[in-house]
Amino acid sequence: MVATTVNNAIPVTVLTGYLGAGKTTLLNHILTYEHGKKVAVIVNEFGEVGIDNKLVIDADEEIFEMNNGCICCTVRGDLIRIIGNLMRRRDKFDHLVIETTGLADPAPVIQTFFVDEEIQTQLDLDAVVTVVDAKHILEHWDSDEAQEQIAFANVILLNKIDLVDPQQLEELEQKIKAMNGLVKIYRTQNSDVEMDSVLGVRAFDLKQALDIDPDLLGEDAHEHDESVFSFAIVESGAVDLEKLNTWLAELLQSQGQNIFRMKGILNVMGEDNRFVFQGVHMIFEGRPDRAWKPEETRKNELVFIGRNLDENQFRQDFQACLV
Amino acid sequence: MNLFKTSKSKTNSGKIREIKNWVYQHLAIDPEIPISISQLQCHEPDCPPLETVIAIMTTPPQQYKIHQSIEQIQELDIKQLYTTN
Repeated sequence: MVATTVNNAIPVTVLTGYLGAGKTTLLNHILTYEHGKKVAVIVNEFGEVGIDNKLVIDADEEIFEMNNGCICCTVRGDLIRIIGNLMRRRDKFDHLVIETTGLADPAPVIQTFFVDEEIQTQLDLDAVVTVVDAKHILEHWDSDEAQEQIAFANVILLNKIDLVDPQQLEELEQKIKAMNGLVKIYRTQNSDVEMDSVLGVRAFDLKQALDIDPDLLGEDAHEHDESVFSFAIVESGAVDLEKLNTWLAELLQSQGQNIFRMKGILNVMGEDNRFVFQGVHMIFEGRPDRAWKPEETRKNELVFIGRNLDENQFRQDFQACLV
Repeated sequence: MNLFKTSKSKTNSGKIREIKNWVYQHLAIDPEIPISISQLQCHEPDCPPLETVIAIMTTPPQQYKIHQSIEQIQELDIKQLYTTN
């Protein structure tokens, strides 16, 4: 069964991955699966595999800066244009899939759904799904595109696992987790995966409980092999909201370009409710969430994914926000 | 600034439609061309604290900026875009 959204907003799935990784094969699984959804598709490149759908729109990637040079205000003009026209036919579809090119930067695609006001109201970004070719990914491992597609992913299909041995697969999975400790990884052949794993994920919904891998939360600070990596800060105690705001505002300003994603749960001094937040580059969304349960241990859990982040400095600065 | 209170709530969609209608009318835009409206609260040093960007999605897009929130924008502000650009 595929989860459905509770409001009227149309869920959007972004498919990324290198050319040949298996994106279009996954797209065809989504389109042919009997989930009862009418799916519209925006594609940025036609690969060798045909797409089995009537509502397919071809787009040319167009990066559009709302504010000159500001990375968080950089969106995809082609998507705004196409979605603007699509929404005039919104009765024709109830899920949107955007298949990006193998070389696309996922950030402007994601930011489009947080910057344009009407798109925010009418559509909900459900998840970024990245298909990784287990056999060939290491050939591209050092490229910015491959690293960003892995770092921004909510779900990764580690595909073509039949072409690599179990030891290589395990090592590759560890490398991916080191880069993105928040991602859910599914090992697949022929991009074959349960639809629940890729549709109705609601990865950007702050109402969803933050689901952070306990292994990541248990790690201490250590050296990282790659320039792009993730780390968690776990601290007991309560934070001073004013200090926290000051730190986060400075962090967004000075490190926002390098922070790809962040999310967390906070124990704020004097508050009965836990606070939650998430961010993409400098776009930040945070608010009080549900009340702490009596049986819960109040603590702070923050996860950052980014390039060349100074983990120790982040820890020190956060600790300075504790009461 | 409280980042946990200023997080974006979904903007009044009626107001967005109203602004778009003013833009189509006063700037004589083809109704087939989508318009994008974004209220930006940017944290970069050179960006203003709050502004509304109106992008007419021609190729390339035409862009207008108003240093007000979406809720504050009035029809006169849109008319002035026409006269000042």
